Amino acid sequence: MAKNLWDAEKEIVAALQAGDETAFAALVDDLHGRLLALARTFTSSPSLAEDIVQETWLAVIRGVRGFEERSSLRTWIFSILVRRAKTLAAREARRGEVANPPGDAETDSEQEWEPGLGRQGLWNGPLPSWGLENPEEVLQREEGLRALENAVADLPDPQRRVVLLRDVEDVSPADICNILGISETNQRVLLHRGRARIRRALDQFFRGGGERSYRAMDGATSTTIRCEHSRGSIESETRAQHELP
Amino acid sequence: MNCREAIDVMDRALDDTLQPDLKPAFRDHMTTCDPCRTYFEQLQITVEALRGLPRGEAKNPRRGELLDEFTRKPGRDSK
Repeated sequence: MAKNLWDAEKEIVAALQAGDETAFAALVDDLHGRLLALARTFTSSPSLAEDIVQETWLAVIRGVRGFEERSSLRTWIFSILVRRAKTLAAREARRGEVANPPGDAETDSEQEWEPGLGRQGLWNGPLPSWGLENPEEVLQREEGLRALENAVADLPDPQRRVVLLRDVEDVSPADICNILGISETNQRVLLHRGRARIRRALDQFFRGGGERSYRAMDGATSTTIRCEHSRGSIESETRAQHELP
Repeated sequence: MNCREAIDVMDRALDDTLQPDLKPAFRDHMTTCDPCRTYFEQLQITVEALRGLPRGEAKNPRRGELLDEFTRKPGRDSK
């Protein structure tokens, strides 16, 4: 339903501005879970996340009749959410409640590489293939889906924000920068680090980290590979692979 | 293009925003370097999988409140 809903965005906006309750209900049903996911990147408190989303919807109701479609409806709603999230999370932090303070401070020192800096070292050898016929196989198995969802949930908040908006919600880089109030460079770095971390998690999964393992391309028995996470470097993972009998 | 340079621009290649003058060198490196190509393919798979993630379904316990507020909003016919 999601794709069809957004294809007809002009009609949706017109319906909302005309007071069409069915259209508004459909919008709420379609977006609620996704807004919650974004709100959760600003606070660890589920109830605060719910408050952020509820206030977002109320602001949408107040503002939709004046919405001039300078951005897409979705981008506009995400922007409202981020503003509410930063305000509410900051307020909770001042009260001393448990909440992640807003801001894009990159706390993740683990990095494979950063655009512009190149890699710290080169490959030690071939990178083990995942042996997939096509990308859909990741999602076709329950375990693969879990591995992916867990990898996203485990991302540091700033990275998860960008990955959710870019890869899950398909928001443009320029809109992401506006929504989050970050530079293009910052957005690029966060996105790449987030994707690289998820790739690493999937790599562990495909090479034996999950309950059911995929056989390695060379037919060797799948073994859980203990990857060195101190730097999260490809060298560590590749070296570990080569130490297997 | 060497590995370091290829990896430097891999994020742009993923999003198809690589500068046109770098595309041939990048494609060439992907052809000749197995680890970089595998890494790039795995990143592509990762991004495709993210794009295909089922949308988060969540019940909104305050849905009724929102619908009431939407209906109640004054001036809905004035635009």
